[in-house]
Amino acid sequence: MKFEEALNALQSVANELESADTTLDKSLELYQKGVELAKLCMDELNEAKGKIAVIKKEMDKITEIDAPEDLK
Amino acid sequence: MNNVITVSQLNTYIKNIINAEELLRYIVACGEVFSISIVSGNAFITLADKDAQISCVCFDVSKTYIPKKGDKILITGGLSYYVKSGKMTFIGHKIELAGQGSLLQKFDELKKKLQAEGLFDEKRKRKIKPYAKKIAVVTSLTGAVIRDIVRTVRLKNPVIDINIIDTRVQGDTAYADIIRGLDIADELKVDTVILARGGGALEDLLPFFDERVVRRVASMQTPTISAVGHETDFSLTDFAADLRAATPTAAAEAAAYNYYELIENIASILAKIDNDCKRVFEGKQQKYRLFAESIVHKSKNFIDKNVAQVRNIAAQSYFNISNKLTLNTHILDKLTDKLNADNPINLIKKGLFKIERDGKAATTVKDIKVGDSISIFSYEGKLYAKVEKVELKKEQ
Repeated sequence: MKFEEALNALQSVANELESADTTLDKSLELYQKGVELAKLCMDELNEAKGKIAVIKKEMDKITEIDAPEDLK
Repeated sequence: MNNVITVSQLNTYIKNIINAEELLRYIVACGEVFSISIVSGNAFITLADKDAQISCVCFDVSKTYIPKKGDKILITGGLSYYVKSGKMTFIGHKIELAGQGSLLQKFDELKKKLQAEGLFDEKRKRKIKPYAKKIAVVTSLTGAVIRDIVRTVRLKNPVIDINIIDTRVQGDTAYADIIRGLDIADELKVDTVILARGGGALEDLLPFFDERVVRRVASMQTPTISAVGHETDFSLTDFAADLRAATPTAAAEAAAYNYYELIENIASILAKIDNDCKRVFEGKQQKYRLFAESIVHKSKNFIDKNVAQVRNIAAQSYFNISNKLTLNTHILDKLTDKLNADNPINLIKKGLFKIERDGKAATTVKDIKVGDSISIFSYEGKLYAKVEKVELKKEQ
């Protein structure tokens, strides 16, 4: 499942959970699903964060190169 | 009347008598030039002495001496009588000055003869080598001439090789000596030969008017300078040589190049070449340096610009992705918070109870009436109850 899909699903779960006329069993079920989705999303975000950090390091290394001061 | 004859018969008779007279065919007549006129290359002269005169014609005067009015001359020729005009004319083949002028006249005749042969033609004359290494001087070792020549050459040039061929330049047999000297000079294979003699009386210069000497000068293999006598003196060798020098010193001047000037010239030419090369090289060097600098500058600008651009894009990209991450994290946090806030277990744990009626969650007291059966959920368990009383808060 893609992050956006999971986030959307989490949003609907949260909305549904918020509505008052949900039975307890259903609430519990929704909550559990919500936690799972949140974990999924968090994992995705953490992974993205890690990837960005690695790429950033690489990019910093590349853009560190200055134009030569003097080619003479 | 027996002796009547026509004019033609008479003139023919006279011509026959004259033609028959051997003595009249070859005469050397002596007289003074009373008048002279040249028409179409023929000289018409009236020759006279104090008592008589005769008309003379010389055809083609280029081959003989041309006298002036008043000259005492000898004309060699014969008498001719013209029938048509009845006139008698002395036809001359050769005119000579009588008496003192005969020597010069002889030279003049020889000059004319050699000139006619083309011996003195300008086109025969060769240029004297401008940078002679070796010269030969045909002259007498005694006398000032050779000293003048050597001194003049040495003043200009310390390296030129001077060969002196000692020759008698005066006397009856001097001509043979001079010819021998010229032969030796030619064999030496020098660059220039100088034939020289100091000034003197005309009689002293005779060998330089000798036909054999003049011819030998004309036939020289080596370019030859003739320097006989002083400025005003002329000899026939002067005409036959490639160059006539007014004096022996002038001949030396013409034969030797100025060594010191040449060295100086070469030095200045080398310096100029050196200078020019340097200038050209420096010009090119400067041009290429500027060119290289401009390339460096352009490249540097290009790299700088692009590095900056890449950096900008990188920073922008990082900013964007970070933003996105932050935003999503934020959204997720909010959702998680919300999820936790609505966690039914949390709520119940806090001591709140959830009431359901007919299997549906009851969120307001208004939904419930007296006598309704309801289920009450707590953290520990479930209660089943019947509503005895419903009390509503006053509307606020």
